[in-house]
Amino acid sequence: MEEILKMRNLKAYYFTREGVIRAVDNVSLSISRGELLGLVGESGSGKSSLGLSIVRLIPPPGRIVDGEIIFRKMDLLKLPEKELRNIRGKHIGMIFQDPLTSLDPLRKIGDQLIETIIVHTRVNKEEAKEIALRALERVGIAPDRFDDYPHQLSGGMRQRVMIAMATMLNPDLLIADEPTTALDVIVQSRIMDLLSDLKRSMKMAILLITHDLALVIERSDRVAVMYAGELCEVGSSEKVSQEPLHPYTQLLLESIPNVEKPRTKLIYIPGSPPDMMNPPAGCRFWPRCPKVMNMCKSIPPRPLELDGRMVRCHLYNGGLESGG
Amino acid sequence: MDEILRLINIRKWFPVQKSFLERLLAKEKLFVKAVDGVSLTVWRGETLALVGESGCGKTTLGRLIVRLIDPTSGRIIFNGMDITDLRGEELRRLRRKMQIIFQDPYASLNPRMPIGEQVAHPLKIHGLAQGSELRDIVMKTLEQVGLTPPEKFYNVYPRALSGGQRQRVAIARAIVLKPELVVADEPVSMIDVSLRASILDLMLMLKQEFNLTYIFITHDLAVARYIADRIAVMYLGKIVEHGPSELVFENPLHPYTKALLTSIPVPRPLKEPKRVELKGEVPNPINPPLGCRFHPRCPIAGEICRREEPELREAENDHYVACFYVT
Repeated sequence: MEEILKMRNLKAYYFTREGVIRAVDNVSLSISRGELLGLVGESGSGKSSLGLSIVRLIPPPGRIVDGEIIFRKMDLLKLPEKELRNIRGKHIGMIFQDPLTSLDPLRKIGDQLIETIIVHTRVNKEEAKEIALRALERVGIAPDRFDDYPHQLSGGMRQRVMIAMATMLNPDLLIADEPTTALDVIVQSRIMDLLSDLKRSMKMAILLITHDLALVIERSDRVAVMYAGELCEVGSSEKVSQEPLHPYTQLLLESIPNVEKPRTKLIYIPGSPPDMMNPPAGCRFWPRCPKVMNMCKSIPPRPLELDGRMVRCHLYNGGLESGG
Repeated sequence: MDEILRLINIRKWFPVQKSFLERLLAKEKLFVKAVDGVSLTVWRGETLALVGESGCGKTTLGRLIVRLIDPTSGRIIFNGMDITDLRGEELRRLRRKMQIIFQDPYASLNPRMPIGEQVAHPLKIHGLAQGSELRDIVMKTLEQVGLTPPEKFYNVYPRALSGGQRQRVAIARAIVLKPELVVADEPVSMIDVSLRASILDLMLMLKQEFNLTYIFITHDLAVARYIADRIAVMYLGKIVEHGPSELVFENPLHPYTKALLTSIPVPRPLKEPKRVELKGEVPNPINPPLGCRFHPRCPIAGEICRREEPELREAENDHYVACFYVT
């Protein structure tokens, strides 16, 4: 599959008065056309900063410090702001957790869709309305909702309007940050079906950012696990769930209750995620790791490519067999 | 089995706020029917999970049980005594026996009080201990909820604690009075994923140790399955199904429960997912649909569901469902 986005050694730091937070630290990751990539991590892991960095929307005092983001053969980090603005919303769509804060409460949803289309394309108002109506139809919103204000819609419908807005210009990449976290499970499942359809029918690449490991594993083709600003494991959903390599992924999988199983013993991860101002030396996970070795406390592990997957852990320095 | 709590046809209708002009013009008063006729028995020593989507009334029901709000109608029987109309001193004494833990450990603790004092506070209010005895009880309670060594935590302010640690303080505050019943409203939904299991296990451990009864309110069915002995599923202010956890999860009877259960993402599924699809979204609780309130979204609804409201009835041993089409 054709790679649509490729990040290399991306670093995005927040320069606060108290110190530097390395929210995204040396992340390399790519997404292919027609692929749903799930980026999973706990709060503070840097996953949202990573999503914002891709479109250079990381808020101050945050800044992208280093790396490259290749999208359609361009380095987004070198592009003038004006060109980037055209890419956002047209070639890269974005949806965020709370649709109420992303929609203008004082304007009809139809008008908001039309305006976005006119800003990005050369169509007239009639044509724009047609595109908008088609986009709403695709997400299951009836045409008579076109003149509704955001508050007249339910949470699930608002999120579907956001998806319509983010995808109506057929972007190559959709960044969806916790798109279903504010919604109930039945609506969540329907929104995820919708994203899967877009992925298949329009060959869209989707980056799904969430804290919900179960959701990511059920719905994505590939999973990237983020911990304390770094990716610790990347691989196909199937492999990561069946045979997780990184101790953090292993523990995370054992720590979530499974609705299909009665009270199986849950394992929990001791300690808390690190203070990002002063992350531990060596591997950032070592203070919580049950398989910690001496070298982990001083030498940061490098990403290792194994069997089509990436893992950042000293256990696998000698290859797959030596680990686990 | 020994009954600790019985709810008899509890209702809570919140009046809808209207402008002065609307009040002049409209004759009819509108109500949000948050809880609309719930009857339920809770047995001593069990964990009952109240599950449902946002707006189903589960949080309102929890607050009604601990008498933070008054029901519009119905009775609440606790330890064989009708507590529906308790006021003042009597209500205060009742609070020793039933406590509540809230969802947000950032909002439920006093930011200006060291946590030792916050845990001591309930004991002082009820005049149960003072001086060194009070301090000893607080230390022991901090230890019991895993805030060790307790000396290190006693004088610390909430801002220095993680979400998981704050929720442990909230739990300490709830159990320090040795209550019989604890209502826990989404106690882990704001806690980091990697720390949730430890809070759930702490609650299970404390339950054993103090012979507690829990009413555990959650939207997360996986969490409910982990913690609860019995499950009650709510939809639009009513219980549509309840029974032992194993029966409800292995053999869900109500079409709504089936839809909920098949919508949950499962990390490593044992069975092929067969999703039960629902039409539309949860209707407005101001005017719930006539007949069965679930019928507009129900995949198996028939003629009778539009006219009549189904009652909860026992479909199999101790497993109750409110649906005309479950045989």
